[in-house]
Amino acid sequence: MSEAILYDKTHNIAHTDDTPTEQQPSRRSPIISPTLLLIGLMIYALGVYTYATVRFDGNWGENDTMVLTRAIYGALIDDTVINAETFRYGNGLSYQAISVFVAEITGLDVQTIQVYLYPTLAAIMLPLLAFSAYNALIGHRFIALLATLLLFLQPDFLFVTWRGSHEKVTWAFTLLSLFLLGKILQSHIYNRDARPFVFAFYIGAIAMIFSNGFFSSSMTTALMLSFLLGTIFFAIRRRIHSRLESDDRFRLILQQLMLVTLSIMLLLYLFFFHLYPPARTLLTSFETLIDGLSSLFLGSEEAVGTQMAENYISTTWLSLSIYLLVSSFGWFTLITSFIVWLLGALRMLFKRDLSDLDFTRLFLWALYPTFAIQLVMSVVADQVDTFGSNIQVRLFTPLMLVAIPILAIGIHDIFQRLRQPQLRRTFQVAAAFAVAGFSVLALLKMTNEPLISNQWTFITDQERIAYEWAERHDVDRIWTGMDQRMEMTLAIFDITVDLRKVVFGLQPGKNIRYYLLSDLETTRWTRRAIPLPYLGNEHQIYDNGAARIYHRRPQSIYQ
Amino acid sequence: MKRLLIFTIIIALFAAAPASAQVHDEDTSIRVLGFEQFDTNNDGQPEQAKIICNCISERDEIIVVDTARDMQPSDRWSTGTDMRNDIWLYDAYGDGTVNLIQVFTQDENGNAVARFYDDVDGDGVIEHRITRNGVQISESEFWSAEVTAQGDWFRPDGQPNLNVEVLVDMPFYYGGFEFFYGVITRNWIANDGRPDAIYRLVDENDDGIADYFHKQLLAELQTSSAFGKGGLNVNIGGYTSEQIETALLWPFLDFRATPNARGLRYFDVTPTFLVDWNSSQLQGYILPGYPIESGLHINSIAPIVPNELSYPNLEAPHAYYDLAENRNDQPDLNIRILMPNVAPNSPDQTAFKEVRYSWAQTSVESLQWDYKFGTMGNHPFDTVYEVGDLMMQMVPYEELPTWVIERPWNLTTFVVRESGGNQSSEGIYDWTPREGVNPIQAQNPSRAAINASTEFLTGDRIEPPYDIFDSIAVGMRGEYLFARPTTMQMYFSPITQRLHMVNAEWGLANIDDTYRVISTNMNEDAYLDAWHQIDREGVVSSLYHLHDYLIFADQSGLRIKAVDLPPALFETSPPTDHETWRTLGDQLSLFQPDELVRLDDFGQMFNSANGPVWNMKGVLLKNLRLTPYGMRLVIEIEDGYTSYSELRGLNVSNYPPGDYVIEWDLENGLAISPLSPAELELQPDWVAFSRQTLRILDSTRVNVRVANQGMQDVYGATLALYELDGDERILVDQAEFDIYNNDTEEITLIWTPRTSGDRSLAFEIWLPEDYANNPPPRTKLVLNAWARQDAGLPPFNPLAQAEEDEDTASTPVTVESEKILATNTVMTVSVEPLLRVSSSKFLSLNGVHPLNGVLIIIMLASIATIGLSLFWLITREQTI
Repeated sequence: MSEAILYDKTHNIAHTDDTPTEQQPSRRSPIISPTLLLIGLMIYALGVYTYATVRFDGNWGENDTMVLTRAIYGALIDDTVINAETFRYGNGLSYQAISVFVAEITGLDVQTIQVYLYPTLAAIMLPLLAFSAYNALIGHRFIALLATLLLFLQPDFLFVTWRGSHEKVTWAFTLLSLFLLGKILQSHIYNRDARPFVFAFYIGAIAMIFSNGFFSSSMTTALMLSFLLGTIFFAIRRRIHSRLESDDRFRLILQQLMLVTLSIMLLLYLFFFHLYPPARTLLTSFETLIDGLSSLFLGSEEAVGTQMAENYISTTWLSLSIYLLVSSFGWFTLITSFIVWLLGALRMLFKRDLSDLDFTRLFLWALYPTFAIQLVMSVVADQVDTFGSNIQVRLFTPLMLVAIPILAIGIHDIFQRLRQPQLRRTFQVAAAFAVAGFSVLALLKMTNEPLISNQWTFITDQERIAYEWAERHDVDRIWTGMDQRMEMTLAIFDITVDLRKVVFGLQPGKNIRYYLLSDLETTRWTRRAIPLPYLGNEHQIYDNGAARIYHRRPQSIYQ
Repeated sequence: MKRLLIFTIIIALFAAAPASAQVHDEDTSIRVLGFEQFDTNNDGQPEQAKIICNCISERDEIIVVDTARDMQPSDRWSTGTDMRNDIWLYDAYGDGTVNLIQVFTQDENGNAVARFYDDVDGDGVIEHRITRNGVQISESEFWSAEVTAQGDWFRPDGQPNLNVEVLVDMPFYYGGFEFFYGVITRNWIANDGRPDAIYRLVDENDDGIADYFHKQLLAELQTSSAFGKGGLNVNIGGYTSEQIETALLWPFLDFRATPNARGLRYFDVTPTFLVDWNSSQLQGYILPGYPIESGLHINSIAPIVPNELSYPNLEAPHAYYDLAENRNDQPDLNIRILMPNVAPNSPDQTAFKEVRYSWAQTSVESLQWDYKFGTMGNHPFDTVYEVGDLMMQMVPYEELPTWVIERPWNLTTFVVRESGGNQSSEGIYDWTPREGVNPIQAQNPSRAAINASTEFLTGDRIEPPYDIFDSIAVGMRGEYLFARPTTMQMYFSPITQRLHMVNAEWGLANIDDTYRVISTNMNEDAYLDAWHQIDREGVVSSLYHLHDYLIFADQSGLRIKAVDLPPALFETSPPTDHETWRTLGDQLSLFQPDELVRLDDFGQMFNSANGPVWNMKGVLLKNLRLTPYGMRLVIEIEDGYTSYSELRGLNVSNYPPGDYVIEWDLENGLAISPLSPAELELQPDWVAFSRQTLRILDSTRVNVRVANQGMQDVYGATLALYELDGDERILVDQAEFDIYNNDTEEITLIWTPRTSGDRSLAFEIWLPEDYANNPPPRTKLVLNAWARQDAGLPPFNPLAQAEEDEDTASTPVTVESEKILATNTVMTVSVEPLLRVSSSKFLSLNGVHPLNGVLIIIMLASIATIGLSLFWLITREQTI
C-alpha cells in the first residue's frame, strides 16, 4: 500500500499531482461500493433511532425535547419565532423555524414530528453529512465510512441527535460546516475556485448560529483556536526545518480562514445583539461575567442533571461498573484517539515535506486539542468531577466528532501495519465483535435502559391516564415522583400541562396536596432503596390499577 | 408596595396636618407687581407685554407676545393680554432665562387650547427666538403638554372651566401613576410627539362643580409592569373647585404647587401643573388635596378606559363617606379595597382582596379614626360602576359599605383606638389581615404577613396567621377571627363596656408600655370570655366570665361572683350611613360611661357587677379550664388563707397549704382534692402499627397510647420514638401532645424501617420544666415580641424563622433541659427484607408484557449484527 496516510512507512508524499481525483489506495474497484455502504449506515442509524423510540412505545421525554417541543408549539400558535410569548427558546431559532415549516407542509402535529419524523430524517441526513465531512477532511472514503460507523456507536451523539433537541440540526450544520471547510482547504490546495464553498460555508455557519448561538460560539472559538494552533505548528516547523516553501502556502490559507472565522464572529455578534433579542436576554441574565463568558465560549447552556452532578453516577446508573461499561466506547475513543493524535502530530511536525492530504488532516489535528481544551475548561468552570453529567451534554459530542475520524485513521493504520493476513483477519474479527458490543452498549446508554439506569425518561400509559384524570378534576399542584420523569414526558405530549403544577422531589413540599404514585415509580424507589414519602395518612382519590392519586388529609378549612 | 406606603404616609401626614398657616400667608402675598406693554414695530399698537409678579420669587417676569395683532393697549394685565392667541414666556426669578413657554391658541371648534414647551435636553434652557410674528421654539418640535378647555378657560361666572383635557408628552414625576415606581416614567417616557398620559376634568352638567378627574396612561409600558396605568377621583359630595390664589394668572398653573396635599381635599381647587422652575421642566399634572370628605379615588394598575368596561385593581377604590353629615371636610368612613395580586389588565376579580373599613364615631372633627374592620377574602366584583363615560367592574360607591359588611370574609380583624393614635387619610392601618401588625411600619415584615395569610387561604399553610399578630401599637386594641369566615359584627360587652368583635378568637390590647391585655374565647362561642393582664414577665391578673360567674384572680387571691350578665348588651354591624352611624352613637351613649374603665382594671370590672361573692385571700389560681360539666381549677392555698363565700355550697375551708384541684360540676357542686403529680404511662401493648407486615423502606404509622394517671394536667409533652442499634439510639420521630389528668391520648408517629430482622424500638416522653403551666394562648408569642421590641430587634419574621428552621432541620433535638418522664419502654418487632425487583419487570416496563423483553433483545441483536456487518464490509478492503 502506498497511500499517503499519516503513517506511511516511506514518509513519501503519495499524491503530488494537483488533482486528487481518487485518493483511494485501491488498485481495483471495491467489492461493495461506498454508496451502498453509506446506505447501510443509514439503515443502521434508522435502526438505532427506531429502537430508542419503540423501546418506550413513544412515551419518552426529556428536558430539551420538552423545551423545544413547547417552543415550536409557541411559534406555531403565536405565528412568530422571535416574538413568541407562549413558549420561547432563547438560545436559537433555526430548529423552531424548520419545525414550523415541516409542520405546515406535512400537517403533522409537533409531537409526531419530534418523536417519529425527525429521528427518521436524522437517520438519513446525519450519516450522509458525517461521511461527507470526514471524507473531505480525511481524503479517504473508506476511512470516512468507518468514522461514520464509529460515530453512530457513540451513545452521547446518538442521544442528542435522536431526542427532539436543536442539537439534531446544530450538529448537522456543524458537520456541514466541517465538510465545506474541508472543501475550501482542498480547493486552495489544488488551486480550484473556493468561492462557492466559502459562500456555502457562510450560509452553513449562519444556519448553525441560528440553531444555537451558544454552541455555535464555542464552535467558532474552537475553529479560531485551531487556526491559531496551525499557525503555531508551522512556526515550530520553521524552527525545525529550513526552507519549507510549501508551508508558506499553507500558512497563507490559514490566515485566510482565520479571516473567515472572524466574519463568523461578527455574525455571532449580530445574532446575539441585534438579530435574536431573546439570546441577549439570556446572555445578560448570567449572574457573573465569568458565567456569561463561559456560556459564550464554552457553549454551556443549562444542562439537565447539573443539580445531580456530584452524585451523577449513583443517581443515574445502578453502579460505577455499569456506567463505565456503557460509557466504554467514549473512553476508548478518547484514549486511542489521543494516542493517534499525538503520534500523528509529532510525525507531521518532524516530517520535512507535508503532503496536500496531510494539510487537510492537519485541520482535524488542530481541532482536536481545541475541543479537548474547551471540554476541560468547561468541566473546571462547573467544578464538576470528571465523571459528571455535564461532560456528556456540553462538549463531549464535538470532541467526539473530531476524535472519531482520528480513531478511524488509527484503525486503518493498524490494518496497514498488520502485514500478515491472518493477523489482519483476527484483528478484523475482534474489532467487528467489539463494534457489535459497543452498538448494544450505545443503545443501552442512549435510552437510559431502565434495566441498568436510574434516570428514566419514559412514562406508562397508566401514569398518563392518571395525570389526565387529575387535570380534568382541576387538581392543583401534584407531586409525581422523585424527578422530572413524568413532568417532561407529559409536557411534550400535552402542551397545556402547566409545569408549575407538576412537582417532584424526594419529599413532596409541605404545600403540595396531591400525590400521584404509580407501581412503576414505587418499583423505582424500591430498587434505589429510597423510602417513599409516607402517604398512609392521606386520602386515596383515584386508582387505575397501576397508578394512584392521593389527596392530603385536610388540616384547615381551606384545604 | 413599600413605596406606595411611604407615598401614602407622606400624603396622610400632609393631609392630616392642620391647614398650614404658613402657606396661607404666602398665598395671600402673591400678586402682580407691574405690567408694561411694548410697541416693538412702532406701529402704534403694542405687540408685547411684560407682567411682573412675585409668583415664584420676589420678582418674576412673564413676557407676553401677541401673535394675532389684537393686543389691546391697557395698563392691566387682564385686559392687556389674552389667553386666545398670545404666547407667554415665564421667566422665573427675572434673570432673563425663560423657564416655561405657554402658547395659547384655539382648536377648530373654538375651544381654548394651551400648549406648554419646557426644557427637553436637560440644559435648563428652552431654545427659542422671539420673532416679529411670534415665538419660534426650537427646543423641541413637540409640545410637552396640551390643555384643551371645552369653550373658554373661564365660565361666565368667572370661575375656571371644569371641562378640561390635558395631554402630556414628557417624562414626569407627578402624574398620579407613580404609586409604584415613579422613576419608570423618567426611563420609559420621552417627549416624542406621542402623548403619554391623558387627564380629564369633567363637569358633566356644566354646573360649575367638577364631577370627576380621570387619568389614563397612554404610554405603552411592559404589561407586566406594576406601574399604575389608570386613576380616577370622583367628587361625590359635589365640592366646588376654585382657582387657588397661587394660580394667579391662569387657573391650571399654580406657581407654588407642591406634590403634597397642603391641607386641601381633592376637588377643593382645580388641577394644576407642577413646574420645577430651576430646571425649567414640567414635573407633572396633579389634582391637589387628599383625601375628600365624600367621594372616592382609584389607583389602578390596569387602565381605566372611557366607553369600555375596565377592571380597576390595586386600590379600587378608596372611598370616603360623610357619615356625620356635618360637611366639615373630614370623612367619617373610609373603605379601602386593595387587590394587589391580580395581573395587570386582568379581569380576574376573584383575586384575594383586602378591605379596610375604618370609621370615626366620636373623632369626627379630625382625620382620626375610632374603629376598623380589616378583612381579606375573594368575593368577586359582579357589578359595574359607571362614572360619566367610564364603566368599571367594581362595587358602586353607594353600595360599597353594605356590600362589604354583608359578606363573610375569610380573615377578619377588628381594631379599636382606645387612646391616642395618629391621624391618617387612609383609616386605621394597624392589624391588616394581609399585611400584618402595622403595614406602614418600616420593619413590619409585610412579605411574611402576606405569605402567611395568602398561603393559609389557599390551603398551603395549615395554621392561620396567628403568629403574625403578636403586638399592637400603644393605645390600640385588636381582635381577630382567622379560623373561619365571618361577617363584620360587633357586640357591646357589659364587662369591659366596650365594643368587641363577634366571634373573635383572640385579642390583644396595648394599654401602655407596662401592661398589655390578652383576651380569649375559652368556650369558643361568639363572645370573648377571658382577659389576662400581662407584663413583661407573664400573666399578672385574669378575669373570666364563664357559666354566669365572674372569676377574678390576681396575686392577692381569687374572687368568684355569680352574675346575671348577658354576654352582650347589644350587637350591631358597622355603620354604613348616617342613620346607622347615629344609631350606634346613641347606643354607645346609652351604655358606655363617659369615664371608661381601664381595660386592664379587672378589679373594677369585677366590682361593677352585682352578685354574691366568694372571696378567697391567699388562694392563687394556677390553672383554669372548662370541662364538660363545668370548670376545673388548680389552686395553691397559702398558709393563713381566708375564704368567705356568699355562694351556697361553694367554699374552701380548713385545707392545709398546698396545691389543690377543684372540679366544679355546675350541677353538683365542688369536689376538692389535693393535686397529685402527673403520671404518664406507656405500655408496649399500647403500641400498634398500621402495617401488618413491617418491611424495609415501607413507612408505617406507629400509634401509641399514653395515659396520665395523675391529677396534674400535662402541657407540651413530647413523645419520641427511637430505633436501637446496639448501643446507638436513633431518633425516628417525635410528636408533641397535651394530656389531661386521668385521660389517655393516642399519638401517631411514623417509622421507616431501614434494616431487616428483629428491631428494638424505644419510646420516651419528654416533659418541659413548665409542663404544668398552661398560659393563655399565644402569650409566649406576645412576650417574645415585646422582648424583641425592648431590645430594638425587628419584629418576628416567620419567613426568616422558616429558613432558620430549614437550616437546622438536621440538628438533633436537644432534650437536656427537659425532664424525661418515661424511659426504657422497649419493644422488639420483626422487619422483613426489601422486596426483590424482578429484572423482567424493567424489560417489560410494567411487568405485564414479558414479550417486550424478547422483542427488545431481538432488536438489540439485529442492530448489533448490522453494525458488525458494516464494519466487516468497510474494513474488508483492508484485509484483502
